Amino acid sequence: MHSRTGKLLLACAMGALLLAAALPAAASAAPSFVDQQVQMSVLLLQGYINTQAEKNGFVYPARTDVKKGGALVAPVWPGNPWTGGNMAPGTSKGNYTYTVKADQSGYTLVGHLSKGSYKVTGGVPRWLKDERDVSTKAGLALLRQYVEMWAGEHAGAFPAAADVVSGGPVGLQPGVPIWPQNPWTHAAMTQGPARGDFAYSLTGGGCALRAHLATGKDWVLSSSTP
Amino acid sequence: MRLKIVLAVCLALSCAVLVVSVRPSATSASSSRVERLRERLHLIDGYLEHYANANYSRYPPIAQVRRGGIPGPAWPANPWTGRPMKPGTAAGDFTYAVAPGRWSCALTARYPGGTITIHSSVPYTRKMQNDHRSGENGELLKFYADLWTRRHGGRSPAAGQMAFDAGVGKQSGVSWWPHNPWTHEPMHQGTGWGDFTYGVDAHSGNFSIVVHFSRGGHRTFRGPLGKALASASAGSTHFSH
Repeated sequence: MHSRTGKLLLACAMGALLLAAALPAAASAAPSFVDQQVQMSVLLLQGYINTQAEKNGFVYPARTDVKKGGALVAPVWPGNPWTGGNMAPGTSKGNYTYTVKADQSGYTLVGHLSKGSYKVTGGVPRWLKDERDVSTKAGLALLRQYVEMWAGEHAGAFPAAADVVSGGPVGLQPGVPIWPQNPWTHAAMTQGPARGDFAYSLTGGGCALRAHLATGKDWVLSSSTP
Repeated sequence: MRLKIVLAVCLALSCAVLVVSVRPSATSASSSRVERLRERLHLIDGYLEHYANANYSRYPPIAQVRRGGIPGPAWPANPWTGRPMKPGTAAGDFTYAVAPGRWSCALTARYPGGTITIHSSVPYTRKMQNDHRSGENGELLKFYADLWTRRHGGRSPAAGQMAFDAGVGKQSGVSWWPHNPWTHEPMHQGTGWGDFTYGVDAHSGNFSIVVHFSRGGHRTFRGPLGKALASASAGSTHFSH
């Protein structure tokens, strides 16, 4: 009797051991699997951030936008596998820290793992500056045509600086259907120090136009009375 | 004997509790898998956007959208098989389609009883901005063609001369040949977004430059300048929608 009971207890114990081995989420294996989930969730959020920035002219979301219910468009908000709730801003494991540059041109997103962290970064693509500098140059070349056209209609006299504006005498003369835009602000190019804007000055018998590029340098065109 | 019965009942109850807690119902498992699939499809979509951001807003070719193709630090697993999601029509896999020009794409995943599709495309704001740039570029090209015409006794340039590396582009006074904002190459004759078609009217000798917009329209610039100004309108814009 005792021997049969002992066998039964032994069988139960073995069964329990087998079950424990077969079940997932053994304490030692769980962290790496869960950390992988956190990494994936960080990458998912990064995709949302990049998508939103591209729609917004590569202006990255503000810090307060990157949370569930914030302005960041996120069709599926990732969960925090440690809490069972949503991932949220914070430094506890399974949450994240999002920081964005003051001019919103780049960001860092850090997912907090069981040990350590997982960091991704992003920012304005390198080609965008080149593309916008190219637009700035094309805009300045067009402005030069407009001031030359003006000079042609005014006995070779180039316009005064105050006249070289989209809503001024140069911009309103016949044959000026399009005033170039500053590719950074998407407003009309104006005289000023900002990138994408320009400077205009009269020289002896002509004029000089300087476009301010993103590289920090100026691109210069000059014109003189033929 | 009583002890045996008690132990057997306890074992049976324990097994039942374990089975219930470890294996969720078929419905909730399926629903959970679909949610995981949706999340993972958005993860791949994020990789597509990342690729587009680095490649002038163009989405990747079909052959690259797989594990090891486009950059994706962690490639998601198929919730049904546990293996990496791959192109295919089985549950948990995906199909990727990209439009000619690679300016838009669709990512579709299947699950038993349904599909999930994510559409992505160049943002409308970018199209507007680039179309405006294309318009500025067309205006500049008009001045260059006009400059050529004045220097050649009122004869408009032939189509073959209307290029950055041909007669019009190489003449003095052409400081900058405009670039197509979509291809980042000098504008050339064609019907693609940001390119232009050029023609000379056989009867009047006037030229026309038609710039093609991404939103389905175009803008026409006519010259030479003196003749065009006579009508007080050197250009016209048309959008097909």
